[in-house]
Amino acid sequence: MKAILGWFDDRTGWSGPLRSLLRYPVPAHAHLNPLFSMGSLLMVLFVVQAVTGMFMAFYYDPSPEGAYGSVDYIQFTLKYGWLIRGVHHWAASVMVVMVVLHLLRTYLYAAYKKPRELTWLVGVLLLLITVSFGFTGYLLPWDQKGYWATKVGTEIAGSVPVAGGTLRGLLRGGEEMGISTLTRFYAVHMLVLPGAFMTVVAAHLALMRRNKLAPPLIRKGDGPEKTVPFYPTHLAIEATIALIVIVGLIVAASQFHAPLGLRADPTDSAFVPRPDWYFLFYFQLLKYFPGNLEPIATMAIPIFFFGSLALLPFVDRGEERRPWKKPITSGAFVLYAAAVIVLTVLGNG
Amino acid sequence: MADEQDASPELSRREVLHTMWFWGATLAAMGAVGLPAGRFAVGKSLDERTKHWVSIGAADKLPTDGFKRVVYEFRDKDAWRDVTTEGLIYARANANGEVLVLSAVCTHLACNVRWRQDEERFVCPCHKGIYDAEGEVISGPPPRALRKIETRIKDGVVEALV
Repeated sequence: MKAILGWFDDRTGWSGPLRSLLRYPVPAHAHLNPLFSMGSLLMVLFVVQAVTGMFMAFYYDPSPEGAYGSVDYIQFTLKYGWLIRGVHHWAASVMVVMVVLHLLRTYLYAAYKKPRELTWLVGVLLLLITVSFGFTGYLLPWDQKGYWATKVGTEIAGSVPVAGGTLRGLLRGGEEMGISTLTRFYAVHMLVLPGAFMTVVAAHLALMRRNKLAPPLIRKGDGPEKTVPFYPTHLAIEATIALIVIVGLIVAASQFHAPLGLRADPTDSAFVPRPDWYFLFYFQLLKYFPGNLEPIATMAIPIFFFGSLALLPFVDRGEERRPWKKPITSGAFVLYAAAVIVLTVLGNG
Repeated sequence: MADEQDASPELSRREVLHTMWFWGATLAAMGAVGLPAGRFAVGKSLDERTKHWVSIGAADKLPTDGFKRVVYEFRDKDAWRDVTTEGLIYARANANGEVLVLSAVCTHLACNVRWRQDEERFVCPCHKGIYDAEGEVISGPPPRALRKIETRIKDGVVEALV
């Protein structure tokens, strides 16, 4: 074995970079702390989505006539179809939860401060990519839920002043929802977004490795902090967490099958479209901005939200990182969290 | 030695030329691929849809005290495929025989509105937009009245341009 590895190393020189990648010292405060395992869990979930998505692509028919039937076939006829689609469905939700928790952990630890501003910015981009996965994937079964949620979603883009019509047309691939909408959502969901995700994650990781993890909020004792090697010690924990989550996804998929509503009907006037649960707060928010105030909800609030996230490290530049000493950022967190929870509950009602 | 440590040594004329050459070639290559690719991705996204006249029934059969729910369909080409496109409109006549046809598409976020005969109003199930029997907004988030659809009468049959 050693001889084979040596043969490869002579020709590739991989052992050096690989060793530094794997022997990276993980600070003790991040080891055995689930709050610091969410990033790697997100990568595992991405792989789960890529693999289950790839298998579904064997059978999926991206056309308004065929999509619903093919998803029905995957779900109810193919062996383990319910499992592949169920895991994809539940992993999508867990991924959104993890992205948000990962962001919240970074936010509350104020780990976005110098020199980690770019890591944070790239992370905000990953949040956008993750929700875009959810938005584009929702349409693919071409059922009532997906159809109407996408119609509303693309109409939101259409309400942007001046460029709205163009934006909506580009998203839908035409004036109305049709075959071009489905093929471009499919292409974006399974080619554009995964490519973007992998590229941006690579940048996120490279920045994280270069700037290292932010030190703990409270230092215990003097001297240098203890570390453990990334491989095998830290990865053993990460792999265990990943295994637990994957088993959980399989159990969830078997107990709660991924939903498939009725086939999309553009003439229906009774169906109340609801987005996936993580967009519910926004769905509810839209009700409060009538008439000409609509662009406030469809444009100003999202721009303000993502803008404030992006600008955060450049505004909050002080040395202080402990949340209990930072009333403004901690208060903003409580306010945002309360708003999202209340709106989600109201939107669900 | 000092020259070697200089972080930004002055570029020679040849290097400046090569730098410009590199960026020029790179941008030209990106443009050569990117511009047609971008136009290709836009495709017919921004083209206006072809409109069709669809029949909604005999003029003297339209209700005068409410709206008839009309599910229309027509055959058309959607990109490369021949498809049957379906849609929903509401039609009624007044005492003078004038026909009013309204689009069912809520002007807020494009859900289909529903005619409530008991309340004599249109209600959008999505965000509770409410319109009167003329399609004008009464309350809720819709920014505009329901779109009035052009009609014509051909051999006693009302047709709507959808």
